[in-house]
Amino acid sequence: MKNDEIRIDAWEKVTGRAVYTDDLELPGMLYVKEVHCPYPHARIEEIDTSAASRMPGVRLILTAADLPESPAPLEKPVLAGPEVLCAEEAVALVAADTERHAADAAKAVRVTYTQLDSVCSIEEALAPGAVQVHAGGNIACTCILEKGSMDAFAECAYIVEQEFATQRMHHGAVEPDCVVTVPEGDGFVVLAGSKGPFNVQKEVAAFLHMPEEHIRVRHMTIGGGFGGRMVDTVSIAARAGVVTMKTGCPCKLLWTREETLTEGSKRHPFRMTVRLGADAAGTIIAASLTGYADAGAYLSHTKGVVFRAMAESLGPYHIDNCYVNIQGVYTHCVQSDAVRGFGTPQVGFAMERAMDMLAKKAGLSPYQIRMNNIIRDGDIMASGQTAEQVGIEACGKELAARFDLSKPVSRTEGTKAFGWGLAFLMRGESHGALSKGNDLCGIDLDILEDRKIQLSSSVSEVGQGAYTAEAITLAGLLQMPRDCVVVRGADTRFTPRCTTTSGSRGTISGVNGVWLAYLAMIDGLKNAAAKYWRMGPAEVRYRNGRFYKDGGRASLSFWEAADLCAAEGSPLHFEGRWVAPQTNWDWDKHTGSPYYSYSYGTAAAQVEVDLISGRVNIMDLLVINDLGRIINRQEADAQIAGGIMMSAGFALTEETAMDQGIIRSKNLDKYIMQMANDLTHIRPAAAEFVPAANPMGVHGVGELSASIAAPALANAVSNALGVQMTQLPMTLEQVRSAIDKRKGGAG
Amino acid sequence: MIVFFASPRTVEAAVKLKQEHPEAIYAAGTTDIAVELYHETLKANGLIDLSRIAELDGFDPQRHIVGALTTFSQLLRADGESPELLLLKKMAQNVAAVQVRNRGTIGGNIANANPAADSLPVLSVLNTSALVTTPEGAQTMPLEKFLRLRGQGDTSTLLTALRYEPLPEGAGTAFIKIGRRTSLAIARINACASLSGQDGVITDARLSLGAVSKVTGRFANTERYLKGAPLCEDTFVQAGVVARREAGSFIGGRASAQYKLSVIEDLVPELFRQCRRNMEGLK
Repeated sequence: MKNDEIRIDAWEKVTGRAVYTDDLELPGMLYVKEVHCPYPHARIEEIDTSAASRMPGVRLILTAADLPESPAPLEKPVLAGPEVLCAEEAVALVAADTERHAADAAKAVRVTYTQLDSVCSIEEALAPGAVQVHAGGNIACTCILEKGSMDAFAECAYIVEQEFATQRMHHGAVEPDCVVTVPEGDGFVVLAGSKGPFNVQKEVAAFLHMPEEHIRVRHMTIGGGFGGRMVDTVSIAARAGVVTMKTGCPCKLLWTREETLTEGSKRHPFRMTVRLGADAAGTIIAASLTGYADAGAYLSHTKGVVFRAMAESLGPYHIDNCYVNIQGVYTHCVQSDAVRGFGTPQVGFAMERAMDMLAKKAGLSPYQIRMNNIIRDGDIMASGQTAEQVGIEACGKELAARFDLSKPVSRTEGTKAFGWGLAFLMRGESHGALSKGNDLCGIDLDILEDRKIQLSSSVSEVGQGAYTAEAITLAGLLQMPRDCVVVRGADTRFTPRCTTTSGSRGTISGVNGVWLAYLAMIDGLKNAAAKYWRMGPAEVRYRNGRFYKDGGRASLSFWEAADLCAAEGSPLHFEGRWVAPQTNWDWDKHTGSPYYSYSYGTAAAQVEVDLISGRVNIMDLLVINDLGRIINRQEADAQIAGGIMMSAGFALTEETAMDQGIIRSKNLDKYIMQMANDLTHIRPAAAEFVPAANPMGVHGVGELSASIAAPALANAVSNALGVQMTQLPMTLEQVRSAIDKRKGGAG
Repeated sequence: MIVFFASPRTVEAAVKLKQEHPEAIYAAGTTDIAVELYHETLKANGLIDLSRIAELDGFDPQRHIVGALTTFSQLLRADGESPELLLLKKMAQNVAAVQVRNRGTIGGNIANANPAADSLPVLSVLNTSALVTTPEGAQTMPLEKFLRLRGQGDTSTLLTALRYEPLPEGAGTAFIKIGRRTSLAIARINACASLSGQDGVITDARLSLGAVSKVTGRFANTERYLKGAPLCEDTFVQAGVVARREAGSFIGGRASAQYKLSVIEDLVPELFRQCRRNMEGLK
């Protein structure tokens, strides 16, 4: 299989031919703008639309009173009201003939609020007598993992215990969220880039009390996903959709950059305590992680995030006695949801920092303590699952080969401090036990007249190169040129059903779906060839684009076999349906098999810390990720590089700054993402060590790298300064405060 | 809302337009004001576009005059090796990113009166004067006075050029910008210093720090402390303490104050260390 190819959508993107949702302009289109609430918790007393409705071009103004009741009270409603549970929620919609008219009229809608008491942090939400965000209390969910006994801490020679905190973070896609809705039949079509067209269909239908089949979702070219493009897409699709249903007009709803940064969902901030205990030799005997995740005002995917965090909390290590307890907590803050990694970055930071602290206490190097405790095939993981096809040891050895572990972990020269740090990580793949068996992917193949194979993919191309990976896989399996494969993206009316492209499942699900469809296609064509040759299909062989009989004495090309198949009236349509292997979780016994496979990786970071400003300069950042089998090396390395960038942002600069529930970092001047020139010394390293437990042997590549750089950087900075960094992001102020602490200590 | 737009060809015409349309504002590269107008943090009913006024253009390093419309990219392309020019170039290199440097003008950077403007500490150290035109005619005023006028809401004084003074012979200089990332970073602190000395004694020292007060100016107490002091590390370290104290008197109770004061104490010695290295380099 040729595995180093330019993406199939590269040219249309660099030449500007790719059509994004906002590029769509349709006759008679209305533009929809929202009115956002400025308070974290309020009751709407009155919405006066009289002035706004008289403004030029205004066609319709809607409030929550005009919409069906929300089917799920814990989920964010299409429009909030009469109670608003977080700032920036939309409380009214204005539809007008131009975007400007809609925006001007939205400003003219007068909303009278009564502000209510609010809880804007985990601590406030958990305080005795705290205001309840939802009836039933502020605990959104609880996920507990247990193995062995915490009594084992009594036997430990070394124990460390430390609190850690991570921040709220934004996805940071280049393209702001956008949908277009167009009337069709009894319902409407949603045109939008999302990570789950079928989920958008289902959820929009539920919110609007419409039959699912009346909503059709077509996947558009997307300007990045990064874990988003699901709950926010549902919100704006339902909003535009309801206007389409009431007016019969196509509608566009495009969020401004500010709206994506304010109303858009965010990464869960975590507060955690990690406790690790080791024997005299440095073998970890007991470990616990307890803490809370800030869900914001609505449930959304909090349980999925907390469950994943629970399952991965204690890292790729073999530990006999484990306890994890993480609770999701409602606050009057913007809704938290999946952001690339969802759960892994938070607990990965805490656990890997604690590992370094334990190493120091036990007198071992950061590398030694990790390698001494890594999980191996046959070991029982913290969850109780038996580990198999584990790649962490190979990633660890590769790290030692590619990063100089012999240099001092810390040194200071003038106004610069230098340090290096490591991180090891394990990440559960795909949806896991929470999906209750609903982990599906369909790939259809249709042989076309013009000697092309149309590959209909339900995996969302969210910029990760899914379509390219699928086309490469099919061409490779067929041993035919890639340009005979054309990929068609998801359309809920025509492409097979698929669950969301999340949890790093796109490649696993997509290429295994392709493999199944390929088998069906080759079987179908073998049958046609066998009939033509009057022999059994088992006697027909396929190789290099041709079908052979009698050891190669006669042959048919792939296309000739397809013609025979068509001539006998058999459809040239073949299906592959990937259903993920079973997973399970016993919620009473707190044990199970949370994910059917795990990906593994290691990272090493070398930093220079400016002792004046507190600025961290990344001098080297190596991330090794075992992918089992690499479908497209360019894309795999690019995915890892992008993950590093996001994880470095998590470590150093990115934070949705809040002040009593109000977001202060409303645009990219205050929400500081890493840029290419901040990360000139990164080494993404996709590797093929241990094949994954699926027919194509592939691991996902999306999220491990997006989680692992931050703990490596935090360990490097901690080593450089000799001060434990326990909170992300390590802003100039945080680091400078650590420098002052170090000075104080020295003085 | 912007309802008026004009592109005058002379300074005189621009000033007249401003008199006729007092609610209109002057616009140069618009890298700042376009954003402020979008966010409605800047109120104006019209734009007087300065980009076609030839007399505002041009940078003359020999005469030490920088036209208000000079972009940061033009500064970077200017010929010459004078220490003043090198300092201006070092500052320009630190402004935002190449797209903003191509559009953003030094006049706009100053007239916008943002305390974090990257050009201010350098111009302050270079004893820069503002050449301005008002309905009363052309005049020259200290840069700090212009900044104070702008801070008081005066939008009618048109900045036409800047005239800076040469540094003392043999002076060493330094410019340091502290931002959250490599480019497109708003300065947490930007700082400029120059240092001259003879026979182991400091004869002239200048220090200006941006983003620590409403109006970027010089650190007079610190400069006084340095002048006549021995040209050595101890003096620099002590200057950091003095500068911290000086900044503490006007930095106010902002959330960032603690950070900035800590940084200043270490940043100021580093600036003068770099200045001294430059001095030695010249010798």
